Amino acid sequence: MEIGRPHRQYEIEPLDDPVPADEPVESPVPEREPAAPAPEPVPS
Amino acid sequence: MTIRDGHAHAPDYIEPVRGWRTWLIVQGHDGARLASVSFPALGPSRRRLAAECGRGFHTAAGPPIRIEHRAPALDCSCGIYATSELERATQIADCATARFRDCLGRPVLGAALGEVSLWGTVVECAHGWRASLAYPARVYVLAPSYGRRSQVVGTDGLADELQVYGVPVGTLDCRSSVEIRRLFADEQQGRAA
Repeated sequence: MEIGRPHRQYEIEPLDDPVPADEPVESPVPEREPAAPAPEPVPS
Repeated sequence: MTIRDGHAHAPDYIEPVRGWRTWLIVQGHDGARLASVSFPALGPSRRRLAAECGRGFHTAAGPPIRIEHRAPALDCSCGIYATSELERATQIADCATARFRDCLGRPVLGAALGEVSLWGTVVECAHGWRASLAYPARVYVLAPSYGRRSQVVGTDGLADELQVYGVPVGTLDCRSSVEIRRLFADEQQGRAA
């Protein structure tokens, strides 16, 4: 590509990264153990 | 903060430069990828492209002297290129679409035009820039009719595959560089209105 003669040189350090972040990987919903049955009331 | 000569320096700018660029679209091992039209390099998705120099310094007189240096250097022609003028990018698209059939031993699927972000060390030139780091900012897949009638994969399919870059990807249904320039001129007028 012909872009002509160089004029000057400088450093650029972007505040925001121009590279998009990786797509978030959806973490699977952890399977829950079935809830333990409620304890039967103890007859008093 | 940049380290030069063992000292920390504040950057000169904190926004990347945006320039126009033309890419080949090449069949990568896991889908379509953008590639340079002048250097055998595939653009990685979601990772910046970093320049390396394999050439020598160009001196004002005499043959180039090979000196190891970090790309881009003011006195060399190395770096990742972009142009400040859409017209120049479309001229390259004219050549690229007609000329290239394979790149890095992989089939060329098409061509694209768009804007690229440049940062790191940047050499500003009369009609564009050379930089050490780059990543596409927005990409337009050129229509198969644009100088490349043998294109097998449709533009929509290629645009879908290029979504891996995570930047806006569209298609340009233009048949010539004149049409492209007219389209972007209309877009700019629309923004200004």
